[in-house]
Amino acid sequence: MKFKSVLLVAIATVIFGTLLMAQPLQLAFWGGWTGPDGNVMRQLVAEYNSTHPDVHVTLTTMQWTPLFTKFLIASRGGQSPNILAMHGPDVPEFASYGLLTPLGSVIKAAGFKASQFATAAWNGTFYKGKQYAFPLDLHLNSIYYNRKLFEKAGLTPPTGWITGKEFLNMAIKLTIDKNGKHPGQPGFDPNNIVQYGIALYSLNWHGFLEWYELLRQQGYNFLNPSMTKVGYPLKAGERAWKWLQDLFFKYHVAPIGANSPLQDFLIGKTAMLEDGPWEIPAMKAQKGLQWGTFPIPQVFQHKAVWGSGHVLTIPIRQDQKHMKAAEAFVTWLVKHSEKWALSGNIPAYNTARKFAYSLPGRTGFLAGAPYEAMLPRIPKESEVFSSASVSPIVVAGQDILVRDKAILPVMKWMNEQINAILGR
Amino acid sequence: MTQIIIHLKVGEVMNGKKQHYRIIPYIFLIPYFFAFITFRFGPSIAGFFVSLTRWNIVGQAKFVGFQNFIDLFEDPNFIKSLTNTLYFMLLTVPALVIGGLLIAMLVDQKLRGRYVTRTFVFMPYVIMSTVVGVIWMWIFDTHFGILNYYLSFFGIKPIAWLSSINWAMPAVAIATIWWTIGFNMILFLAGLQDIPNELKEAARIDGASSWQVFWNVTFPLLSPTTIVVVMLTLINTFQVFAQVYVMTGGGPAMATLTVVQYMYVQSFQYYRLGYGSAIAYIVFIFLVGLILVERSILKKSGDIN
Amino acid sequence: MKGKNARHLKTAILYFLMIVCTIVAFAPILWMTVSAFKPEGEILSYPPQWVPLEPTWANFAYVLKNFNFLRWTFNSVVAAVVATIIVIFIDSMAAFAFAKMKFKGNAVLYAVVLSMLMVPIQVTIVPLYLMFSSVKLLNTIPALILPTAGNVTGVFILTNFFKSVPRDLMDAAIVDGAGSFRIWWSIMLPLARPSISAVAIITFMSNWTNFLWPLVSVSSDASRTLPVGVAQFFGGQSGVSGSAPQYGPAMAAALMATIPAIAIFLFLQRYFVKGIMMTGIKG
Repeated sequence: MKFKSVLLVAIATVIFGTLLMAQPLQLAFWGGWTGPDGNVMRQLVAEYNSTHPDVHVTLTTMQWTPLFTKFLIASRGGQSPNILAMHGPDVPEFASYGLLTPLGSVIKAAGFKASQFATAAWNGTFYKGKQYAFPLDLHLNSIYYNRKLFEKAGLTPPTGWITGKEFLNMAIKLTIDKNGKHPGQPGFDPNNIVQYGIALYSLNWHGFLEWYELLRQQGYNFLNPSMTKVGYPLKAGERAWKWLQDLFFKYHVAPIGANSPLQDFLIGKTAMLEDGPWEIPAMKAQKGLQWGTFPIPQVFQHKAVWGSGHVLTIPIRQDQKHMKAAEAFVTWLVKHSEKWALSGNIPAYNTARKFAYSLPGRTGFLAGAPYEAMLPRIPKESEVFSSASVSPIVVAGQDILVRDKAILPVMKWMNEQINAILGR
Repeated sequence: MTQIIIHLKVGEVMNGKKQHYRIIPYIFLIPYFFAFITFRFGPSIAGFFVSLTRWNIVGQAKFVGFQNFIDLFEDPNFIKSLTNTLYFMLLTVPALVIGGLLIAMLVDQKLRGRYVTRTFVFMPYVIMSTVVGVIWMWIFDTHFGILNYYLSFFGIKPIAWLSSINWAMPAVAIATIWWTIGFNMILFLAGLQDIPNELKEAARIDGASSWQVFWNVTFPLLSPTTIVVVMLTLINTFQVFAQVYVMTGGGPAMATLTVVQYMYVQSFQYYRLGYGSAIAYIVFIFLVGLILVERSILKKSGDIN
Repeated sequence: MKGKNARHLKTAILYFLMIVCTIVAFAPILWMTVSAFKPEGEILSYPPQWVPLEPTWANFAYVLKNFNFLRWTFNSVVAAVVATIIVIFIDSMAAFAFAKMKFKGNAVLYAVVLSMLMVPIQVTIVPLYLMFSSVKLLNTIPALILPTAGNVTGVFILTNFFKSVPRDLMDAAIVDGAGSFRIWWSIMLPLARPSISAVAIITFMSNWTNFLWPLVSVSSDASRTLPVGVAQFFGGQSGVSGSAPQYGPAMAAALMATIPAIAIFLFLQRYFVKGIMMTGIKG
């Protein structure tokens, strides 16, 4: 009896030991894709694992903010992931902390060069002349529209860029009060609107982004060239805010203070929505919704639209073996990023992007992509362009777009706050 | 008479084992204090030292003395977060304490179905904060939320619960009461169960009304529990965080920004760990003051009783 | 006759209040439950739909198939149960000492313990992390258990309860020659059953729903707990650039994560039984 159990333990140890020995190299991959986009990435990872038996990649998804918190704390204890996804504008902050491996030579060795990628995406991987990330995709604002509501209003959805005026006329025709009247008509009742023209974010930091793209449409940058101070003409800033503010308070085409514009659009409360491509899976899932996209209106002289892009980084403090395996995986992922287009994001790699053209609802994003304007790339990004409630850009957006405050004083206050953060 | 005799005897026993008597309390304390010092007290003190520095977790901490504390009192966001927190407490503490007691008394009655009610009232407390946030964001939504839908039957126009400056904090308060009142109910229930039934029955036999039984028997005997509940409710509401973080993130226009929420943003979103820790220690000072006031008030009312 | 009617009326009112409490407490949870059975496109229907048009198990199947959900549940249960047992023992010992023993520094030590309730727990996260990292305990179950053992609430609740226990009971035992451990074990603990159950419930739940510490202390999927695992389904506040919300799987995961905690509550609730010791003494 005793002998038997000893034997059993011995056998078990041997089996367990060999299993351990034969275990593939483990790679931890972190990203902020908490929705259907996470499923797409998970499938890509599963495909890689099945074709590369010597390596096992595990994808961990979590909202971006706690993910970065976790990364920062974990890097103190040497527990960084092997691959970390982030956005182009996040790169300077983590690179300046010295947490990311410079990848220029690796990217070159993999045979990638600038001409093979969307320009905005490629540029989003550098900090101080060094390349720290593989570009994965682009995502930018666009206008989603509800086809049925457009038909009802006798409108044909545009397929390319339109002017601000054209856009406004459409939005007015799509806004209906309970007596069937539109804004501007006599007897229109702004307190009893049953259907709005457009859902715009105003409570969170997207309000600022909607403004930022209008500033870029006038040809100005948010910060000065050395990125030490706010550097746009107040007049231009005011014009941009005014356009947005009027949509809410003058023309009544956008619901004020909506806390979930996406849901308002999904249930047909609004006929249009300005949002990013990550909402595409939600559109597809919504029963009975017929939707499409077109670029945001060109309100000023130039075409420009806010966008960002996911990039893949390799944090420091890994042994050579893991580093090499991580590089191989990321290279593979970029080359196979075609399917990533199913998540809604527009692949940065040119050959992979072609596939996106064949997918429904991408019109607005593909037409907008060449004009994508990212936020300035600064090491203090997490505080300057924060989505937290105390963030000056969030408060300014709420003051102007939700509380209808006078634009100029709010804007000056916002600039002072940003300058203070930059000067600290 | 017997009481006195017993006390004398105890005194003797105690005296006889004097050495023994002095060591034993510490033996009882050691296991807990090991855990307490290692996992709570020590890290908290370390947090205090962090509050004297500028530190972004990654780099070297730089000693700045009390600069963070000085900066805080010139930080309008911080002052706002303090007043918001006090407003939140005003909305929630009375409801949580009195409501918790009433519900506990209700489900302490010998009624059929009391276990069901207990379970359901407590149930929200076991739900994770993220989930609580999402559920209530649905309920409170201006356009498709169920609350506005049912209110519309009473002719009430849609209220922008989470996006208006006036309604956001009450909305968070409602969700908080729903979420945490079961905690107080459990404590009060335990307190009520600890009171011997005989005392209440004796009072009833003497002809006391239900109200008199409550006021003269139950409530005084419950006072240790009441002290615990009031204090924990004050502390927990002052440190309100998760539900605000998920439901409003502190907005709109900082209308629901609370102290611990602000501390979280500074520490873990702006990576200003020193500044965040300084906020934590101001919370500490405020709470100590608050609890001292609470104690003196309860003591006074106890004297009157 | 009159008295009987009045009593009936009172009972009716009490039942009515109980029903109201139950409905108000349960409606949001029912909403979550119903949503978990709806296909994704139906969740956001308006007006509210309390019965799913096409009920489906797909959300549950999706969660269980694609995620290590059972492993997270196992971790959460083990961590919370072990932490609760530890807390009950060490807290009740400490509380007994604080409440019923005279020793040097009693008041000071108790004040130090209580004062830590007032320091927001978030301040301890980074120091704790560095400590666990230096002893190589990150990513382990002990990392999920030990910090809970340093809790203050349990000591506070039990000390207050033990203080209210009449001295006579203890004295009688001392006369019988019982030592301190015997008094603690066979008098104090049984007497405090309702209070200890309350502490057990509260400790269990605080460990069960804890988010920030498990988030930073555990990186591997195999030692993840439910709140961190379930967070994978929840996006940020609506519209903060990122992922489309996925309410169906999120609600299904949330529901499954709630059930074990309810079961524990039902189990511990049985110990809310009145005055066993009291009658024992009398008899």
